[in-house]
Amino acid sequence: MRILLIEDDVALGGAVRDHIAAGGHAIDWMTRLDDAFAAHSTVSYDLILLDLNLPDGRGLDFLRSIRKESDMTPVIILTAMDQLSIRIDGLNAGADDYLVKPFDLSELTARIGAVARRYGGNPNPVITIGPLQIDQAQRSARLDGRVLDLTAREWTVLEKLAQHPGVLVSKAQLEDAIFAFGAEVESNAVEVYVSRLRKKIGNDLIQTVRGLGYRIADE
Amino acid sequence: MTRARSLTRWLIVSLTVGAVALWLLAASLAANSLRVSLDVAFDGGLRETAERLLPLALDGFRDEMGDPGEQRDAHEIPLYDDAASEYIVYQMRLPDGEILLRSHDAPATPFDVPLQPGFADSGPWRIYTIGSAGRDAFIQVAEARVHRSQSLMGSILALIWPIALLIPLSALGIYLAVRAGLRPVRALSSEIAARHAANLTPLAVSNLPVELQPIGDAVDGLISRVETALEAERAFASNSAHELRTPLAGTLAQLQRLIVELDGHPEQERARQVELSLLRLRTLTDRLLQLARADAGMARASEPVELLPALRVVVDDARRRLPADRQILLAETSPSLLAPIDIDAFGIAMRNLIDNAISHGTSDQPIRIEQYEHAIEVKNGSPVISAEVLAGLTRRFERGTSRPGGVGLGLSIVDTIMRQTGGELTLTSPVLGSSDGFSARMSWSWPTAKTNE
Repeated sequence: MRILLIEDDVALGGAVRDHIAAGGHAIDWMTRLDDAFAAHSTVSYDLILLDLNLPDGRGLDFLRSIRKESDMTPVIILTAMDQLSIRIDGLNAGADDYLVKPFDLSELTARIGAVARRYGGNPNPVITIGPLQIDQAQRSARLDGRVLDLTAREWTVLEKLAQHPGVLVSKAQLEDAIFAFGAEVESNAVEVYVSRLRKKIGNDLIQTVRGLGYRIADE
Repeated sequence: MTRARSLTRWLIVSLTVGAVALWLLAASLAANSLRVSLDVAFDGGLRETAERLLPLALDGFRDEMGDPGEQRDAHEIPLYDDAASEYIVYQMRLPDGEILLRSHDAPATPFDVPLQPGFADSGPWRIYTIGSAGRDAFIQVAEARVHRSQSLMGSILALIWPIALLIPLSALGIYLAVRAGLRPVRALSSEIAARHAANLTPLAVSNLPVELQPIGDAVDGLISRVETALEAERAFASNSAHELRTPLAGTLAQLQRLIVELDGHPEQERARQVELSLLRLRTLTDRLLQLARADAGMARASEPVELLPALRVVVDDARRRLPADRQILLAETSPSLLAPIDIDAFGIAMRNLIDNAISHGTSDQPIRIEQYEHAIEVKNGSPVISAEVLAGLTRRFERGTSRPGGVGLGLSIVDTIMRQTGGELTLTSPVLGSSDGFSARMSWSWPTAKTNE
């Protein structure tokens, strides 16, 4: 997934960025709303993590603004304001979830997974494709019951493909899900990760549509 | 406790006593003036009687007895009516004092006053003496002084007896006047009583009588200072929540990253201990901030609030952070949940009740939340809790016995919030109809919930 983190606290933002990146997702971290608007206008994000009090404005204004443009990117609010009225305001403004600081990083991971699954149209965290079983909540994959040893980026590619079996996913979408702004991206990076995945789950499950991208089998 | 002094009672008693005293003073002054007037009038009557009587008596005596000097036997004038009595008596006397003639009721002995023209008092008599032109005879006309006293007393009584009517009428009149006069005071009192943490609007001072306007101004000043203090407390509680939680969140997140990065390193366990301490600090900070907000008097809402959507949000949130082996069941028995409670205070109270049920409830039974029109009950599995322990659970820093490590503030915060909103927190164990379990019920008597701030 490609995630936009909007958080002005350096300690918290840095830890969240590292935690999400370690999970194999691409994350862009902005500390100001104007930077967040700029990033959002150029990149299609799968999820936004949004603080409410920012140096140049209110996070809720950002949320209302993108919802006004019919942008339905999932948004999880991260805030120190635990008042129920603010939480309801956030949900009414179009937020999908709400985490009060301080939170466990593992809980953040669970919330991100739950929101992503909801948006993926399949709230069930377990996806089964033939002999392959993918548990998004546990971030684990099994082939014929055997646990697969996947790196974070291999996991991200597999999850991205498995969320919509049979649907074509472009190479650019996979790059966006793996790499953040400014990351050194080799031109064949996606092919490398797909190739490694095929070695672990078998050649038949991931199909290459030449010049367009990849898709995982529908069965 | 001494009984409060009644201003109405004091005014009735003091004004009635004052009115009676003034009436009596006026009556005594009038009586004195009346006495003088009566004396003048009666004296005038005596003198006129004497002046008219003397020539008549002299002529009559000469016609009948000759010159006064020739007759020595005192002669008594009989009454026409034997049963009657004389109001005025007289004696006709010679210069040497001998009585020539006397009226029927006049004493047989001479009056003990000299035969000098003018008024004199002797014993029970008021006497007027006048002599003939040749000073050969005198007439002394006398009136019993008791007659004057009786006349005076009759007049005084006529002045005093209306007091018997005056006292109750005066008390009633004063009561009605005071009652009407105090109406603005009662209105002001109601206005002040309507002010609480959620309603600190200024009083309508311009509608008050001039005499009460300084009080209204003073109360408005006090309300303004209270509002400023409350706002400061609320702002402190709100800002400190942000200022405390954000660095705590950064520290916790960095520490959790460190724990991951220390995988397999012996220092990881030490980092986990620090993480546990931080998590305890997070819980304690949460509770203290909630307590600060509850103590700032933020719980009472000026109007009843529909809380059912908020309840669903709180329950949904609780389900997300619920351990995998636990379950929360929400039973909505009414289409609305109305109570005069601020929505954030409701959120704090509900979160504390649910957290309490998660922390202390047994995992083999679900947490049951029952919603009614004006009440919510949170039930969890639990061994029976004694009445003594139950009674102490709403005291601050009082911990239950089921699980160590709690802060001991949750139920106290809920109790504080409920008191502010005029509601009640009822803790029960065992749950009604069961042999065990624990129940915490928030309820509001409707529609007359009053604040207990």
